[in-house]
Amino acid sequence: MTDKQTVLERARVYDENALGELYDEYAPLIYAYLYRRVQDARLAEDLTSEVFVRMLQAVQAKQFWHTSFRAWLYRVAHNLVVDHYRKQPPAPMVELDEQLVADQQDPESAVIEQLSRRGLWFAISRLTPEQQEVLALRFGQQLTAREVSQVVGKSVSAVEAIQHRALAALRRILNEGLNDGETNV
Amino acid sequence: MAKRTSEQLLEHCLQEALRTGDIEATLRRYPQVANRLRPLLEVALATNRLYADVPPPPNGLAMGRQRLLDVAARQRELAPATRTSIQNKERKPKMQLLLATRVISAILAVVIGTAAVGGGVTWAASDSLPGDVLYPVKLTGENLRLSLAPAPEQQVELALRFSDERMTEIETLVERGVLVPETVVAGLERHVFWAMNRAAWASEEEMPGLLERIVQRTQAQVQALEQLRAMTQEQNQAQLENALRVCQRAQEEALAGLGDPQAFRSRYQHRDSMPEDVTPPEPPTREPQNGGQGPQDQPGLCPGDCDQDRDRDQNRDQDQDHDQDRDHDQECDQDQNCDRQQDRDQQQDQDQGQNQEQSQQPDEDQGQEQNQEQNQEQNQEQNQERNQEQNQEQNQEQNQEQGQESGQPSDQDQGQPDQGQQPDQDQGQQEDPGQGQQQDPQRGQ
Repeated sequence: MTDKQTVLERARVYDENALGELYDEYAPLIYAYLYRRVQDARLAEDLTSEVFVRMLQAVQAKQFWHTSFRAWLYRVAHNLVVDHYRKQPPAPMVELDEQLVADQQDPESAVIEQLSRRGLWFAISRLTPEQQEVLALRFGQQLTAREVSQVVGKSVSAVEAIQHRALAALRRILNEGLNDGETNV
Repeated sequence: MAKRTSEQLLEHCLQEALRTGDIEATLRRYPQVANRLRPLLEVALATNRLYADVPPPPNGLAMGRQRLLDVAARQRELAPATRTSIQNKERKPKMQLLLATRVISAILAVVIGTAAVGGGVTWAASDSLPGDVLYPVKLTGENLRLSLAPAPEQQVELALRFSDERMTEIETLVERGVLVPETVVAGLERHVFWAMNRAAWASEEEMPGLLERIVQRTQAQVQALEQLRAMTQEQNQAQLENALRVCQRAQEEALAGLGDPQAFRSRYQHRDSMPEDVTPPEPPTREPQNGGQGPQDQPGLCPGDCDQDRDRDQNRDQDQDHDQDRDHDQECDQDQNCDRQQDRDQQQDQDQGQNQEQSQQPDEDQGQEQNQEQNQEQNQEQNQERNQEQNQEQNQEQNQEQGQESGQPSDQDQGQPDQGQQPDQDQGQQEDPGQGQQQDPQRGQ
């Protein structure tokens, strides 16, 4: 994209090429983010489609994003996830990818060896939506804390605090699971 | 080196561990907290690896793309008019110049007949930037819309929207590597503090919501500016820092207002509403003072400066009154008939007091203004008649006394009536009602 602003303005008048260009650039990112949030590929793809339809509606309101178009899309995606789980609460256990579990090799340390993907997904699903959002953006989408702050509309220090609490909570849930034998694979 | 919080230390270690993948090497630099950070870094890296595996979308995202284009096609058929402004920007410069000429002509007509304001004239200029031909048209349109907003809620929302507009301009200019003019930052400042001023006039029920909106918007602006500052060139650093300071100050003040609404009201309803280190903004539009339709006659026309002008005018009038009293007292000291003059002054003060009491009544409608004017005229006539009667009596008494002594008339009375001074004072009072009626009619209290 040579001039993102120009493309966005063309999108405002429903220019097919501009809309296609935006979709091709951002849809994979949004899909990956949504998958990390819902752990369901089909649902993530449906929600991705919905994000861009909402973009089409919102793009008519000039400059609907403050900082970046990408950050705004992430925010819409997060809101869709929250809405989805409000209507349909998540199942207590996330889907298990046995192949990924079987592929687990060469862990970083003795503790990480004990962490199964299933147990980790389960632990993540027990975090607050806000904590899940920050972790997915920070570790899934590889955004910096500053970039995450733009998406969630909080300060950098607030994002760092959420991240700290999320990791501590994850650790605690995993330890509890290990002790109870519930999250072991 | 500033002391890091545990969150900041974790973030610092995370960045390094994610980059190198070596937790122990990272922790060796922080042996005191290694045991505490290690489990967090381990779970962070595990999460990082977990998130790396994303299965491909079942339909390759193709259905979503087609859906988007289908919806766009329907919207395009339904709203063909929306294409014009954007496409015009991409057409030849001649088209833009032609449009500018037409718009300027149209805006003159709009200024003359403000009833037509709000139409599509300024819409065409909505994408313009500082330096563009249409930019003044855009600003004029904004000012007129602010002046027409009926209540604090709409006024605050509009002011915040226009502050966002300034933010957009700053972002665009920075992205293009163009120097951000001071006027843009001043515009941002003006709109943000105008929103604060309007919020201060809102009802008790409305004000917290308005302040929360200001906090949210300024917070977003602060974040945007911080990001811009990190990526901008040296030439724009100063302007961005100014803008950042404005938004941070407004955010802090609005937050403080949520905690202490009364203090916020008293601060932002009056002339000291602007922070000391922030340049007081110019109002969006300025009418000549005392020109019949001054800003005080149009409460929604200009931001806090109107209040400042009112206070300033009130102070000036009070100062003038005090000066007149002081001069008058000095004259009285030299005047042989000071006692009688003081009696007259007392009578005038009573009249003035009545007028001032009337002037302090809220300006509910024009009928009261007319009544006040009529009362003032009556008071003025009564004062003149009273003074004439007193002078006649005084002259008669003195003539009788002097006639008894020398049989000649005295000249001392010729300068005493001071009738020329009284109308001036009354005229000064006539200006006061306008000052006393400056309470915001939008305020629901």
